[in-house]
Parts: sequence; structure tokens; C-alpha cells
Amino acid sequence: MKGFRTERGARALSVTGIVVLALLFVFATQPGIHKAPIYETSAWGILVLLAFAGWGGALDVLLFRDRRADFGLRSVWGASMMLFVGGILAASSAYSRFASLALVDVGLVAFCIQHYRERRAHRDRVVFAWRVLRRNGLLSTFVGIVLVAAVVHYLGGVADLSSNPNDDDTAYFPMVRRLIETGTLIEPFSFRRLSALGGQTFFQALIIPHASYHQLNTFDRGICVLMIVALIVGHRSGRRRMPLAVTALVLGFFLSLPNISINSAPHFAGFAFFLGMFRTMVFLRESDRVSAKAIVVAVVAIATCTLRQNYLSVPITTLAISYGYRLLGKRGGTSTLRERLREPLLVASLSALALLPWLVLAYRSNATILFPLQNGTFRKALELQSSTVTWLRELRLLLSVALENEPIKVLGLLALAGALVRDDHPYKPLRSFWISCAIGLVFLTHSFSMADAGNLARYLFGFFAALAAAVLLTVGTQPLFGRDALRNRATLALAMIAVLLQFPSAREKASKSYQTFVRNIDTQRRSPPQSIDTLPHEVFMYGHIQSFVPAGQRMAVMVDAPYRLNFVRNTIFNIDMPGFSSLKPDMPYFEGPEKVAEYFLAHDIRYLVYVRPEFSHSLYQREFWLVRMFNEEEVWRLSAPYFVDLIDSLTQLRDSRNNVYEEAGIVVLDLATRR
Amino acid sequence: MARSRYVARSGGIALLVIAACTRAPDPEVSARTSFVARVASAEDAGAVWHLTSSDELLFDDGWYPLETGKEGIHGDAWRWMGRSSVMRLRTQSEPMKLELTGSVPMHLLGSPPLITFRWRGSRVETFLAPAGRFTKTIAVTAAMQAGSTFGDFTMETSSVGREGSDPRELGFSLFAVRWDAAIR
Repeated sequence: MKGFRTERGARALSVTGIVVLALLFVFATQPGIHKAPIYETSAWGILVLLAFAGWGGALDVLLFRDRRADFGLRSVWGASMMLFVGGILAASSAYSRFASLALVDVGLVAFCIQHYRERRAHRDRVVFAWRVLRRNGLLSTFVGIVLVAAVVHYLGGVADLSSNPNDDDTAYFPMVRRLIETGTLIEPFSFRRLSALGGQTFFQALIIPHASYHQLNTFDRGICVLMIVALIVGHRSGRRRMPLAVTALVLGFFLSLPNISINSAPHFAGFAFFLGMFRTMVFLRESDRVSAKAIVVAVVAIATCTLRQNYLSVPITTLAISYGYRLLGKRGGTSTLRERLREPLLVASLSALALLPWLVLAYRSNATILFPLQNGTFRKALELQSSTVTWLRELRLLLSVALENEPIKVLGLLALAGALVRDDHPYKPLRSFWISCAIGLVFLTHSFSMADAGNLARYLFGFFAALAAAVLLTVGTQPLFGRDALRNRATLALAMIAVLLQFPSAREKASKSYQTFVRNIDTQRRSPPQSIDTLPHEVFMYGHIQSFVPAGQRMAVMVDAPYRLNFVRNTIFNIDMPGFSSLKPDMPYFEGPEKVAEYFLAHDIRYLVYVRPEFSHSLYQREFWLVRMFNEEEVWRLSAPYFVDLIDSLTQLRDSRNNVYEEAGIVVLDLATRR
Repeated sequence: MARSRYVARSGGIALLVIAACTRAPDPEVSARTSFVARVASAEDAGAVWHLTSSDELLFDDGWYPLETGKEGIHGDAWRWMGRSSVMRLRTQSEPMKLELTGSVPMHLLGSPPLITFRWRGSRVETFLAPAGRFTKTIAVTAAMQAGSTFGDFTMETSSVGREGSDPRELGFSLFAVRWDAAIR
């Protein structure tokens, strides 16, 4: 290690890193290199992560003069900045595959420059880690196991080709293809589009240049997991870091959590961005420039909001509570109210600015900027609030979600530790986040009173997992001697007991998860490289079916895999969940097939491509919805009649309108021509 | 003059607020309900439909999930309850009747149980369950329904039994339930 301590050693280490990165880039992007898809996508995923850190590093250098943020924090800042740029491009219909590649390339160049400029710091970190680990064999073994778990988790995410046919195939994948091919995200008939601002779609669009649609889990289950690991490892409060053993234990805790996600919607992404937001607030100091603080806080908070509609309330209330504390609490110095108001007002203005492209896009797509407060293309008759649920039932649901939380069984204990620990930071990051999560829970339970505890746990995972991490990071960096030593030790002990209690309940599921990761990795590494011969038959079939619709004509589709269609050739309206969303005036239901045909023709949609119910292998099977019409879950009971009615109407239109073409049960109807 | 203008304006604002807060009945909801009824009849799913919770009637604590025969939703359906169960019924401003058809598992109990009906906690009727399928009609006056949006109808049975490996306590099996206006 002696050679590393010199300037030449630092330079050699840095240049080696850059060369490795360049080789990785060539490996991932050159089609001439024979490689299994898992290698290409996992290499590209690492490059995307480094590009995040590159953009974040540039922001760090521009905004903060006296100190540097760690890799995890930079990756969240950078991802948020890229999202902001992506939002502007998408709002102005200018996004493309080239934009995805350019955003990543720019980030990588920035990363290389910072990597070289910060070579001494990198060298010191390597030397320090080497020294610590060399002295303690047991600790280094434990750290090694955790790191291997992180790598397997990442590769397992890349190798996870599972998709939810009802959500991913019919809605989320088509959104990625639409963004890449049309430059924007206009989906007036898509309920899933209406329900999210589009952040997750943007991040998936960064992956798609070197991944198939079924590899889009790479972002959420791969890259975001590495971001979480980096955020935990890099945490410090002032000058205090968590002891290495505690860090490894905390990482083990999160890496062993069973994955309860059922589709490619944000899951670990929510966790990473909420944790990033918490860490950003911890990073800030009173002495930083107000504008610098406001920029990072605003971009990260807004990036988090764009991921999922139900995330919206938490970043906003966290910031409101944090600045509320600062305005009302005791502060040193002689700052006036006007000076104290400056920062929150700047954060609010910049947040509005960062959110603007996504709001413009939402308005263009679904005529709303505030769904569910403003309906836009949403059908009022399908409100998701239960009409039969009383406040006591809501309370019961709320308690069951909070106390029997999946997958963090010990959330209650961790929340208790979070409530007891002292939050000395001027921004009160833990206190604000804790209260916001509680508000978010109440808000979500109330707005989705039709949902069950299992589904609510999925929606809540992003900020609940981040809260658990925030508590552990805070108690792990509290001083154990001096003032408040007893309290700090007690909260640390409580949190560690919670961590240890979680392990037995998670052991079996975690073991199964890792076995699945390894099995998937093994299967994928033996797959042939992507080529025209490896493409599924569906790709050609959908292309052939679409060729019967004249190029340039508008078409509405209700098929199992609309992401196989070409969004450049035709303007495609994807009816992912019949009934929920449509161009105004509302699409007619329960009025017969002729009204449906008239409605589409009035919107200049002459061609309708749909899958016959007896051929559908996912969402559009009539019997599936018929059973749900008589279901105890109110949400199914309300939505099922719309599915059955549209399926029946289309079946009748098939008898009365010109069937242009049919293959594998997918029918092309010309609504303007009668049989 | 100014005062009367002020009163008129305040009254107008109050009306606007009331109008905004009052939920106008959505015609689509009734169209949807009619559609479901039509489909249920066409698909021979009437039994299932009548035993599924709705905006008007909610199967609450004590009711086991709905069960069907070999034909799935296209045929017979029933719901078991244990020792007691609660049904939440949307109250109306007119007299209503609740009609229940079901049976007790006499082969498990040995002797007929005593069944008690309660409306909002007060006993309405107690009777010895007859053998085989029977129908009971409970009149619920407008006065009984006054006060809140839903009224709890509770059923209790004096004895329960267990069948084979089924761990559930079985007290009464419901085949059909109707919550209609009394004068219809």
C-alpha cells in the first residue's frame, strides 16, 4: 500500500479507475462484442449509476465549496438533475433514445473529471478501508458477505425478467416505448399514466438503450439497491460516521428485506430517493449558501414526487415541517423573519420550477396537474374512496398497515427509536420525515380506503423503508459519551434489537430471494446475445398486425402487449384500464357498442385494435372481470363492469364493422366501415 | 337596502356552499348497477350477486367469504356465519324490509338452534330455526333507520358445529338477502 500514498500512486489509482470505466463503456455499448444480455445490461446499469454520480458531482462542485458529498448522495442529486432535464425534453416532445444516451454520456464524462480531480481523497479512502479491514478478520468477513450480497442483489435485479402482465406489459412498458419513440408521454386513456407524473418511466428510458423491456427491473431492483447501499455507507452526521460493524448490520437488514413489489413501478426507487432526501437535509449546514441548499433540496424533493403519485405529500410535508421548525424554533444570530423566510420561499419557488415540466406533461396528457385532487381525464364515477368505509374502519386499516407492516416487521420499534432519539440538526431531518411519514400513512389510507393492507404496504414501502433507514443512521451516529449519552445508548440499543428481531422473520424469504437471484443470474448468463433471431415472435406479429392500419392513422388499442407496437408509425391510444381515463367527454359505457364507435370516430380514431377475450392471456379476459364484478373488494366491484361492458361492446362491433385483419385473436377494426 | 343586499349575498354564498357540498346522484352509478343486474341475470350469477357486498349492503364481521358450487359464479352461492354476524345496511327515509333466506346445519347441531335478529343492538326477533331452507322478513321502519347512514343488523345463533377438517364454526348459511323498500 506504500506506493499509493504518493501523488503518483493516487494518479495511477485514478487513471486505472477511468480506464476500467472506459473498458466497461466499450463492453456495454459495442454490439460487436459477443456477450449475454445480462452482461450488457448490468454493465450499462453501472454506467448509468456512475453517470448519476457524475451529474451529482457537478452539482456538488458548483454549489458547495468547502466539502464534497459522498457517492450515494451525488448519485441521488445527479439522478434528480437528469430527471429535471429529461422532464423539460419530454414536456417539449423532444425526448429520444439519443437523449438517454447523451444524458448518460455527459454524466460519465463529468464523473471521470471528478474522479481524477479527487484522486487524493479516493486514495485516502482506499488506504483507510484497507487498514481497518486488515486488522479485524471477523469484521472484514462480515463486510465481505454484505458486499457480495449487494452485488448479487444488483445482478439479481438485472437478471429478473419477470413482469406483471396486467401492469407492466399493458401499461408501464408501453409508456417507456412511447417516451423513447414519440419524445413525450401523452396517454389520455391510460390510468397508470394518470396516476404518476412519469419519473420512473424516465429512469427506465435511460436503461432501455441497452436492455430489453423485460430487463427494466434493472433500474428499480438493481441500480436503486446500489444507491441505497451507497447512501447508507456514505452517511455521516457532522464528522461522525457509523461504526463499520453497525453499518454492515444495517446493510444486512435492508439487503435481507423480502421484495414485495409486484411490478416495475417504483419500489426501491422510492426508498433510494426518500433516503436521499433525508441525507440531503442532514448534509446541509447553516453556513451554506441559501441558493445552494435550496437547489439540491428542491430537485431531490421533486424527483421523489414524480416517481409515484402517492409519494407527493411526503416530501412536501417534510420540507414544510422542517422549515416550520426553523421559523418557529430558537435560532442563533440576529436573523430577521425576512431572512428566515428567504430559504423556504426559494425552495418553494425552485420546487415549482423543477416540477413544472412534469406538470406541463401531465396536463398535456391527462388535462390535470393535481390528480386525484383535479380529475382531468379521470372518470368521476370511479372514485377510489370507498363509500361504505367509516372512519373507524379506516383507523383499523391504518393500524394494521402501521403495526403489521410488510416487509419491515419491526417498523413500530424503529419508529419508537426515531421518536426518542434527539434530532439536533438545524433542519430537523428525522423529526420532519417521521411526522411526514405518519401524515403520508393517514393520507394514503384515507385516499385509498378501498385498498387492502397488502397493497397499501407496497405503496408505503418507499418512505417507510427510508424512515427505518433514517432512524438507524441517526441513532448510529449519535455520540455515546458526554451529553445525552444514556438516551443515545438506549435508542441505539432499541434500534439494534429491532434489527436483530427482523432477521429471523426475514431469513426464510431472504434465503429464497437470493436463491432466485443466483438461479436467474445463472440462466441469464447462458443466454445468447440479443439479435434478430432471439427476438420473441410477438415482436414480428404485432408489427404485422399494425401494418394493416394505414400509417399516420390514429388508433386505439386494448391488447396484452402494446409495447410491441410502433409508436412512431401511428398515434396510439392505449386503453390500459377501461373506464378509468379517457378523452373528454367521458368515453360512453353501458350505452351499447354504437355509442363507443361514435365516440372514437368523433375523436378521429378510426381504427381499433383489441384482443378477443378468449385469446387474452392477461387483463382482457371477460371471465376474469365477470368474477370480479361480484367481489368483496369494492375497487374490483366498481371497475369490473367497465371491462365487461367494453369487451362486450368490442365483440359486438366485430360483427358490425369491417374486420381488417385478425391474428392470434388480435382484431383490427375499421370503425368507419360497416360490414 | 345595503343590509338586505348583504343578507341576499350571504344567502347566495351559503346556497353555493351547500350545493358544492351535496353530492348529486351520478346517473352513471345507476346505469352501472343496472348493467351489473343485467349481466348477473344473463350469466346465471344472480345468487352470487345478491350475496356480494354493495353500496347498500355490506357483509361485515362474522361472515365468511362467499362460496360457490362447481359452476363457479354461474350457479348456487352461499355464505356461512359462525356464532354471530353483522350486516351493515344503508338507511333510507322510507320503511324497508330485509329478507333473508338460509338454513342452519342441522346435521352438525343435532337440535334446532335459537336465532336472534338485532337492529342497532336491539332485539327484533328470536325464533327456533326450522329444519331446511327458510325465509324471514324483517320490517325496518323509517324511525328505526333515522340517525346515521348505515344501520347494523346482527344475527346470533345459539349453537354452532364443525364439519370434517373445516376449522370454521358454522352456525347459519345464507343463500339470499334482499334490502328493499317495504311497499314494493
